[in-house]
Amino acid sequence: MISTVTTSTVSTVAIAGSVTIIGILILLLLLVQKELTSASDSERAARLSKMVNIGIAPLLIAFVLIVVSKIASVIK
Amino acid sequence: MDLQLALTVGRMDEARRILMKRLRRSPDDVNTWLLLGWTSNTPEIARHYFDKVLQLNPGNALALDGLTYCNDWSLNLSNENIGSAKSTPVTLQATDIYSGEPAVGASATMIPIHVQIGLKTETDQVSITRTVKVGVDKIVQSAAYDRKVSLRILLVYLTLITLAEALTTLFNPVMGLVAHGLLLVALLIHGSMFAEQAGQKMLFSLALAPLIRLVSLSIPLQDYVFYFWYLLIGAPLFLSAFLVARYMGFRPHDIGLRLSGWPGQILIGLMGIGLGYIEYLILRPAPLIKTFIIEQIWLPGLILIVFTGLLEEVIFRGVMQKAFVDSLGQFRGLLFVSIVFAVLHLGYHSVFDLIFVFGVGLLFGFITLRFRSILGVTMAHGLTNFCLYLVFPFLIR
Repeated sequence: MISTVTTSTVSTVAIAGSVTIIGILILLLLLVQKELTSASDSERAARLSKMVNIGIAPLLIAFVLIVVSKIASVIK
Repeated sequence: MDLQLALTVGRMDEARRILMKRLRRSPDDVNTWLLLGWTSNTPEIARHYFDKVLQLNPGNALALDGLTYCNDWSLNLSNENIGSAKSTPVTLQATDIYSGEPAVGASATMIPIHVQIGLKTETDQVSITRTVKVGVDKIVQSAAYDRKVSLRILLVYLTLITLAEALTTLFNPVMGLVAHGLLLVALLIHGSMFAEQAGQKMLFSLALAPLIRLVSLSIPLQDYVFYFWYLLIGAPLFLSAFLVARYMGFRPHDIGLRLSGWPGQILIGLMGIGLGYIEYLILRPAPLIKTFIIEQIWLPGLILIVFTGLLEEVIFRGVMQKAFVDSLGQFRGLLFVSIVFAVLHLGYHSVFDLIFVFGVGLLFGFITLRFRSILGVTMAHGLTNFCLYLVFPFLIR
C-alpha cells in the first residue's frame, strides 16, 4: 500500500503502552523547548519557539486521544 | 548563457532575465531577490528588491548592505556634473566568481561593467562597481556554500531517518520511536539555526518524516476499526503540514493545491487503478472490509482517499518537494523526496514494494512538477489504496 502509516503501526499496536509514553515524552521535550526559547530575544530562539509548534500541535492531539482512550478503558 | 557566466562577464541584462525566470519558479527565493537587487540598473528598483528580501528574511545583512549601497547611489545621482563622467567606460578584469580564474566565454577579457550610470568620477565608478561585484560574489558564494552544506547535512539526516525507521519496523519499535523523536527535535532546532530560508525550508519540511512515524505510533488505535486509523493519524498530520506550509510562506498553489487542467488530472488519477493492481500483486493484503458492498465501501474509501491520498501528497509532493526542488534543483530534489517517501515504507518488509514505492514517488513527483498540481497524483494515490484494500482483494483471489 502506498501509505506511510499502516504496517509499522499494526506491528506496534501490541506494545501501545510503551510507545505512547515516548510520544508524550517528546511532547514534553518540545514544550520545555518552547518555554525556554520564548524567553529569549534572539532571532533564532524566536524562530525555534514558533517552529516547535510543528511537532507540538499533532502530539497534543495524540495526547488528548491517549487520555480519552485511558478514561474510556477505566469507564468500561 | 547561464547565470554564473552572465554575472561573471558583467552581462547584467542577461543575468536579470535569468533571475526573473528563476523568480517565477521560486517567488520566495531570497538569493534571487538579492541578486536582482545587486544587478539592478536604478537605485529605486534595487531598493524595491532589497526591501522584498527584508520582508522574507528580516535582518538579512546583504540586503541591509544593499540598501546602504542604494542610498550612496542615489546621492551620487543627485550630484552635479554627472554627464561628464557618464561617457567614461570603466573596465575590470572578468574573473570567475567561484574559482577566481579568468572568465571563459566572454568575447573580451576586459569588459565594461554596466553600473556607471550617473557617477561623478571614475574613482567613484570603480568603487561602486567593485561594491556591486563584492555583493554579487557574497550572495552567489553564500548560496553555493549553503547548498553544499545543506546537501551533506541532508544526507546525514536521510541516513538517520532510514536507520530510525529500520529500527522501528524491523528490530525495536520503542527504540526506533525514540530515534524518530530525537530526529524531530534535532531537525527543528537545526532548521531554526539556518539564516538562509532554503536550509530552513528543507529541514522543517523533512521534520514531517519522523513526525509521521511518531504520531502514527503514539496514538492508541487498538479500540478503533482499522480504517479509522488513517483518520485519527491523518488529522494531526494535516495540521503539521499546514503549519510547515504557513511558516515557510508557501501559498496553496506553491504546494500544488490548484484545480487547473482538471480533465488531464482526472486521467492521471485513473493511473491509480493500474498502480493498485501492481501493488496488490506485490503485497496481497487482506481487505479492510468484510463484504464487497457499497454500504461498506464508501466510508473507508473516502478515508483512504483523503487521509492517504491527499495527506501524503500534500506532505511529500506538496510541502517537501517544493522545499527540496527549490533548493537542490529538480533532479536532486525529486530523488531525495522519493527516497524519504520510500524509506517510510520499510514497514511492509518487501524489497519489491520499496522499489515500487520509490518509482511511484518519482513518477508522482515528476507529474507534480510538470503540471504544478497535486490534484491528479492525489487521486491516483487515493485510488491505488482504494483498489488495493477495497477492490482487488475481492476481485483477484
